[in-house]
Amino acid sequence: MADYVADLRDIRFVLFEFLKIQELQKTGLFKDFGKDDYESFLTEAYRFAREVLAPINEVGDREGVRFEDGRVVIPAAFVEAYQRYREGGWVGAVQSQEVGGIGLPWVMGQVIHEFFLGACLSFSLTTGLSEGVIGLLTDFGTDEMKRLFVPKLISAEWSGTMCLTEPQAGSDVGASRCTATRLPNGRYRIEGTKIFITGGDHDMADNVVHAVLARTPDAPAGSKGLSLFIVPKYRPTDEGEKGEFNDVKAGRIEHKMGIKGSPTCVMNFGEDGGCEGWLLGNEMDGIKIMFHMMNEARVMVGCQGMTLGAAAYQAALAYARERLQGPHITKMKDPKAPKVPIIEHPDVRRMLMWQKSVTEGLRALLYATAYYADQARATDDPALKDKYQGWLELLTPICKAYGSDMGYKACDLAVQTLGGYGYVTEYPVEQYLRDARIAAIYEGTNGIQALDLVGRKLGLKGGSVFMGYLKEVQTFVGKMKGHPTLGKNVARLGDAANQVGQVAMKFATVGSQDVVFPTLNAYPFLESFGHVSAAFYLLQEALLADEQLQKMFKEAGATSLTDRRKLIEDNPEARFYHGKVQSAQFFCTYVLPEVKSKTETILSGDKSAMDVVF
Amino acid sequence: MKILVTAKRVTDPDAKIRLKPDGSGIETAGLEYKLNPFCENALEAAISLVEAHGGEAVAVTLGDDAAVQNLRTALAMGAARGIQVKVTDAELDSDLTARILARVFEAEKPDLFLLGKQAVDGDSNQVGQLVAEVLGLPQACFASKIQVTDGKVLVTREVDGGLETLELTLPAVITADLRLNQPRLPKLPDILKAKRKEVKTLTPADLGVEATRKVETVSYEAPPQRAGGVRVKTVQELVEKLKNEAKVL
Repeated sequence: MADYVADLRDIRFVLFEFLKIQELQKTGLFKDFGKDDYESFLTEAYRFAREVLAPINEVGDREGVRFEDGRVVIPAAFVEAYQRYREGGWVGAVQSQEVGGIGLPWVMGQVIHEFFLGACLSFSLTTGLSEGVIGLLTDFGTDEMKRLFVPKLISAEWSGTMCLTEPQAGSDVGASRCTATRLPNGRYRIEGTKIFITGGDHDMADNVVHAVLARTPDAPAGSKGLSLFIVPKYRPTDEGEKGEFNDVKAGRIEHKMGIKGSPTCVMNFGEDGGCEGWLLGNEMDGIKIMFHMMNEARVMVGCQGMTLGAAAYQAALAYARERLQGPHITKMKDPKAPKVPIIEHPDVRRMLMWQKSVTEGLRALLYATAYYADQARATDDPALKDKYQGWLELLTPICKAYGSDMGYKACDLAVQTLGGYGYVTEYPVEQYLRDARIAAIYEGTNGIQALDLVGRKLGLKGGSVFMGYLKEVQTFVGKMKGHPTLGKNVARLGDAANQVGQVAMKFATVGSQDVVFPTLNAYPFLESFGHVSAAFYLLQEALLADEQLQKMFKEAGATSLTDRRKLIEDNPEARFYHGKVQSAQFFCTYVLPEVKSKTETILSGDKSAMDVVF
Repeated sequence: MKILVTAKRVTDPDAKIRLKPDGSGIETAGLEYKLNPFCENALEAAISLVEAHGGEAVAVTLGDDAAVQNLRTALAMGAARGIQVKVTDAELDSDLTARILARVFEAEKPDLFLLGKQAVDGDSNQVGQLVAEVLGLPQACFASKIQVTDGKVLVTREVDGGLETLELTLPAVITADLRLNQPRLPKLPDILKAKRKEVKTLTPADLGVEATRKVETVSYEAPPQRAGGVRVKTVQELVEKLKNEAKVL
């Protein structure tokens, strides 16, 4: 059985040394939580992930989900784990205390997500969606709807889903055909079929509460005519208990490349005309409300890429330390030279370092983005609120697309690190790779994310949000480019940020006449911006780490290179800080320069992909 | 029913322990800590007994301020309050630990004292037995089952070659084995509540314990690296080697 390992030292570093989330305690909203409390939640969440979720990860993959006599059957181990999840009260972690949650900041929610999604993605998808539906109900539901649905969702007795996709309406969500007709009782009759519904039906929870996009009779075509409904499998009684069947049935399940323990269902609503839905907000507000939810859901999907990449890296690292192959490179010609662990080999080190620096960069990006959202909620200063809310909007497509793509690539390099053993099911990395692949697809494909970035986010507040972020990067570069160890790479960040700015300008000037140009290049632009933001956080972390490391050298009286090396080797703290500096150096040297070539590609104006006749 | 129960902070049993270069102790930088797994069994038993019979479970730890973090886990599991006796691990031996715990017992006057059968860091497996001796109480160690009825307690314990059931009068000292139960994981709302529960901090001096040790630790060293094996050709050669090289025959 594969063990799940997370880099707790790096997680604590991001939380308490880089972001300093303990300072949220000064705000009214999060006054209940100090560092010790975060530490308790972190410890217990990690323990739950390792003891309850990690052991079912492989089981879910091997057993998979079955569809028998109209029933979705998931592995028994998942049902048991869900029971413990429910008892633990984990769904309520970031929900407000008014609705029965704990009220933790979202950045701690990221930590819990990193553990739970990393330990067993298949399981934690369903529970993650419950959080989304609770959010919809608390923000847009009537008091009556909150009363009927929220307590059972918070206690995890019921679970939630998001039903957007239909066979003809995938990325083009506006093509939805599901209908909603107003009934005399104020509710709506829901009819139609939704596909690819994660957690659509299962026997872990007593009831499944769907958020369904559907069109009212006179509504216009396209996404603007859609409304959003809460549609339970079983209607709640007046007391909010599970009541009569609401004509919601799973039609079949998908057989997938990964996340095999998660039921992906075709859902039929109102086949017998007996399905009722509760309207969220107003008619035709459906898309607007969905977008409100989108930031959280999309950042969570980015977290899936990051956490599986990070878990795969931990597995690769452990393997590389143990696996003996070949002599050390400097003793290649000596047939009697002892075999060394493959972690000694330069090419293996290159792959491990890519995984380390990229997953650390993603972690910092994701946690920082969640922390911006917390600060936006917690601050009383309207200017700061605007700034952080803007950054959250801007970085959401980066978190989602860049997080899922780079996380997947980290899993891929982990497989490569293990060689043949990476490809076989005896080791966990091939499952991480297959499971991670979905993150680039659902919750808006990464192509859609790039369009969101270029079409919507660059122009936020007349472009001032994007320019403000780049300015923050350049201010940092201006201040730190003379730094003795990291200055050179800080300067590289400045160049890359300039290039990203240059492309954005070009999009703005050319885009109005030639809409193909920005859309064709939206994706490489998103990658470039992702590299810049990851480097920005990694370098800030590295400067902090370098400061700590120099302090340790001084305290230990380590002045010579040999003494310093010895301290780094012997003292785990020194090794960690040194590793942070190396992560930034590696990322800025091996990954960040890709921005330059992507910029050159984009600015070339090449249209071969459009000119070709396939 | 009032139960006193231990909640010791130990190094993560999965962590690779390294020694300080001078052999004066283990390298603690970067180490993860946990609640001692055997203490978790004791806690689970204490909390379940309180749930069944009423009363309260009081968790006690001997350690520095970092140990309070693990004491909070015990409180999140369901202990009503906590007691920290502030000492560092290096100042303790089993005898002193037992004498301190005995004083805590006398101050709290519980019906039952539950301990982990051993802590997974030092693995001494002495403290429960010593506490019973200091207090002059009946003891049952390595419990795999505990039943409380009318002022008496039946303890099934694992001994060589089978199970033994002892009947003890209360108050008594019981140490928990892994097979006693499956410790619960703390619930999220209880983690939040745990921080509002009382934790009293005492020193050995407050308890009137003289902080002297019977055991002095001279130095730590790692076990010798395992040397490669050899293939023997005959049984005679094997016996020869076992006798003269390994000196086990």
